[in-house]
Order: sequence, then C-alpha cells, then structure tokens
Amino acid sequence: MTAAEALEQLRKDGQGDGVELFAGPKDAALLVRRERVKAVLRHLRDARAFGCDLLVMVTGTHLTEKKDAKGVLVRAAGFEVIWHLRSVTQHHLLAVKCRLPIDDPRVDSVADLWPAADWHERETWDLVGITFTGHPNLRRILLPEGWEGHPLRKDYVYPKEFGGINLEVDAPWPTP
Amino acid sequence: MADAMTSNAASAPAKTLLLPGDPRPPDLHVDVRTQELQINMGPQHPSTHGVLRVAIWVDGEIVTRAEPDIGYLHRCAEKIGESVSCIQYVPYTDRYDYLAAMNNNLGYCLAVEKVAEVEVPEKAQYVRTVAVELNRIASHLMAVGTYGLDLGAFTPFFYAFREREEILRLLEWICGARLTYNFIRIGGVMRDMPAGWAADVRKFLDVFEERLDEFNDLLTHNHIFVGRTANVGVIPPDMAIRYGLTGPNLRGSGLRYDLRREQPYLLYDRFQFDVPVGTGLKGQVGDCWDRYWVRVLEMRECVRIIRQALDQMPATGEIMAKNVRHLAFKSKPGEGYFGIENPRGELGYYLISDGGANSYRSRIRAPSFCSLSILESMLPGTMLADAVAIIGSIDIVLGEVDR
Repeated sequence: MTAAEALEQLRKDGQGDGVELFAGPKDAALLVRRERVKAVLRHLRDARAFGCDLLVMVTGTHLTEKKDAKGVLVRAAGFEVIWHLRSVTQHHLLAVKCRLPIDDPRVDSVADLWPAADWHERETWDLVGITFTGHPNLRRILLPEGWEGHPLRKDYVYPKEFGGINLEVDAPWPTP
Repeated sequence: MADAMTSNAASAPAKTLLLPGDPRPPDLHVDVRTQELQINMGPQHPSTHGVLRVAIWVDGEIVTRAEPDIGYLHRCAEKIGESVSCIQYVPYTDRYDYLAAMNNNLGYCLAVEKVAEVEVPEKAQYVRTVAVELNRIASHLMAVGTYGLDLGAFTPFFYAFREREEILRLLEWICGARLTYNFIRIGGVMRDMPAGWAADVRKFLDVFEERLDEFNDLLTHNHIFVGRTANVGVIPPDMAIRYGLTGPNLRGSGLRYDLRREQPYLLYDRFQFDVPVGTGLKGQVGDCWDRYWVRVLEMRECVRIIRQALDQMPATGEIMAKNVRHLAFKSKPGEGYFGIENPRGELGYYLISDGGANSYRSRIRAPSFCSLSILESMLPGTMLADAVAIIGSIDIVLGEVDR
C-alpha cells in the first residue's frame, strides 16, 4: 500500500479530514494536521484495511528556514514528527508526518496505542525537544537528567560545562 | 525475618530445640515477612552485555518492578551524522552494533543509495551478501555463546568463539579489520574478494555445519539449560508486535516475519532459505528457549544463503558504482527510510538530505533499543534469577541502544 492508496482508503473510511499527501522525491507520506494525528494513527492501527500493528519508529526533525537563490521561501521554520508503521500481516510500510510550529512543538503521544512509542517519544523529546502530550513518563532517556537543551536542534549550543566537568574543546563544534 | 524470629523467641520462651521432622507445636507461629528491596543490576555487571543498568525492585525472590536505565554509551550518533559527510559517516556506523558491523554498514549505505539514487553492480551485491551473512553467523554465535555463559554454562562459549574466530579471520582477510569493517561503501564494496577467499569460506561452512551439531549437543538440548530457559520469559506474539520487537525476538514468538522476505533488498529474492520461527518445542511458544533456538536455526540458513551466493556470483565484474565520486559525493535532496534485517531485528536508517554532502537528519532505528523497552513490563512477576535469562535472550548490544 502506497501513501496515495492509503489516503484514498482513509477518505473512503471517513477519516480523510486534515490529511494530505506529502510526496517527497523518494518516500511519500501522509501529512496529518496536528489535532488529527492520534485519531488517524489509531485508525491506521485498528482498521482492517491498514492493519498497521507494528510501530517501527517515531522521530522528529528541526527544520530551519530555507530560501532558494531568488529569495523565495522553500521551507518554513518548524518541526516535523514522523511515524513509520508496518503491517506484519499485510506487508506494507506507511509513513505519517506532522508539521509543528517552531514556537509550540507539541503533539499527542501514542504511547497508549503502542507501548513501543514510549521510548521513542522520550528520545525525541530528549534530543529534539518535541513534547508529546499525554506521555506517562516524558523525561530524558539518553542524556543525563539535568542536561540543558536539545542537541539535535540546529541552533543548539554545546554547553561549556556540565556538573562541574569542563566540556570545552579546542576546535569549535562543527555546524552542519 | 531475624526480627520475627527473635520476637517469637521472646514472647514464647524456648522449651526445646525444634529439629527438622519434629511435629510442629500448635502454638508455634511462623511469620516470615519480606520487604521490598531495590537492587542495581549493572552498569558494571557481566550479564548485562555492556553498560546497561536495570534498577530492580524485589520482594523476596520475585521482581516487582524493573526500570532499565540507558544512555551510558551515548556517543551523539545522530548529531555526528549531521556533522560529517555521508561518506565519512560509514565508519561510524560500525561502532553502533559492533557485533554486526557489516550489517550496519549495509543499512546505512542502502539508505544513502536510496536517497541518492545509486545503482550497485551485481558482483558487489553478491560480495555484500556473503560478508553480511558471515557477520550474521558471527553475531549469532556471540549471542548464543554468551547466553550460555549468562546461565552458567562456560564451555559452550569457547566452542562458539572458536567458530567466530574463524569468521573474524575470514573477514579480516577481506577487509583488514576484525570488528569495525568499513567494508561496504556507498555504491559498492571496498575491494573484490581476494584470491582463495571464496574457497576458504566454503571450507569453513562445511566444518561449521558439523560443529553446529556439536554445539547443539553441548548447550541446546542440555537439561539444565532447557530448565533455565523453557517456559521462562514468554512473549506472546501480540505483545511482541505492540512493543515493536523485530528479528529473532519476534520470530521466537512464532511470527514468520523477516525483512529479507518481506521486501527483499540486495539479492535475497534469488536465494532459497527458510525463516525459522519458535514453535514451543521445549515449553511455550515465545519463551527464552525459542528465541535462542531461532538464532541457532538461522545460522544454518545463513550457511545456505552464503553457499548459493558463492555459486551464483559472477567471476568478474565491477564492485563499485560508476556515478559515486567519493571525494565530492553529494546526495540528491529528498528523504527516505530503509530498513534491513539485522541479526537483532529491523535496523533502519531514516535520512533527510538537503542536497549537500551531509545529511540534514540521520536517524537510526536500532533494533536493540526497541527490544529493550519490553523489559519494563516483562520482568515484574518473574524470579530474580530469571531476569538474567530474559535479558540475555533478547540479545541486546548497548552500543546500539545508546548510539
């Protein structure tokens, strides 16, 4: 099942509200409005036509503003969360995306739909700084408690010290 | 407990010493109280296979709560992925799942090749298959060998390591390193197989099949080992799916799900191989023994795949794609996810490219990370001694969990 077919099926099931097709050059995905994320994901899991029972991963990206040579905005600043779902019975992989505003990166947690989402959401909060509302235990998982900032943000500044340990390096932290 | 005994002794003055087998006096009240105790398993513990800390709450011998604490080996993998170019990043992928470094190379290269639209020559795909499957055997040998070690069987470990050593020798011969290979490159492989290598691989496979029977006699059907693993740590298939388990852990629960079959990458659609699943041979479907047994059976399938790959491989051919200019490699803008069947489950790389030399975002879906999250709900209710059996059976590599 491709993303386009999935969108068609979603519309047939009356769940197409707030869902668009994101057609990237390689992978296509369903682009879902923030309020509809949980309902759509629940439908993808429960509806027989989709049967997406395996949550492969959840992750987020910090998107910086990008303009082309003429100064036209090609990408607005913001955050993007992406869920990859697999169906074990029907053998397909679907990607669901959601765009979040830069000043309010929060989206519904799906940890109650898939326990697998628990750690993925914690990691996404830890490294990218996206808040999953309704998550039972949203705290740092890879970085130590008390760490400041979210390292996978593009504007992250590497701290000079942590807990009395000097973290300054001679070479500047490479900016991507 | 000591308190209870002394208070009993104080309230009822001891008349005579009670011997085992004596009838218990009707007024004797045995009051054994236990209290909850928190203990730390790790981060320095030989059975956690790395620096994993599990905070365990026990009531007597029964685990009431468990909380895995990870991050001790965090090396900013995804940040580095954004900071260095795609070509430079390949050696880093070796370091995540260091027991299956070939597979990690492959996963990353396939993801980059997908986004950057690189066609890999046929010969290179065969060489990749042989290398990856050899590495899978080595990884499974490590898994089953150390699993026996966790449960007190010292000898099988050496038998597993003897075979693994032979594989490491073969892999060292082809690429110069024993663990961190950096052999599979974007667009192909580092170099062609050296003369005589294929013959040596075949020789090893012939010996290995016999040695695997020997290993089964030593450990697989060993009475004590079966007693420690059968009916322990049962994961029903629906629970395995909900927790995102993949690979041998999912197949141990009886689900025939293998990405090499589901969405064949490389040339896996040209080979004949079975996908072994857990059947509850010694206990229940999805117990620790089943997960172990699936790994042993998979090694045999690897042998079959390597033999077929060596048979079908063209004698000569390109080993590197033409359109990859390594010094100035730039990916096309776009994004893509590619998942492969790692020895530990689905290893996925999700890349976003801006069209530059670096990835804009490189996310690693590490199978051990997902498998480990099931511990929190699996351990409560089991005996403390079984915790080791369960942690060992899901076969984690901490380098990959923490990244």
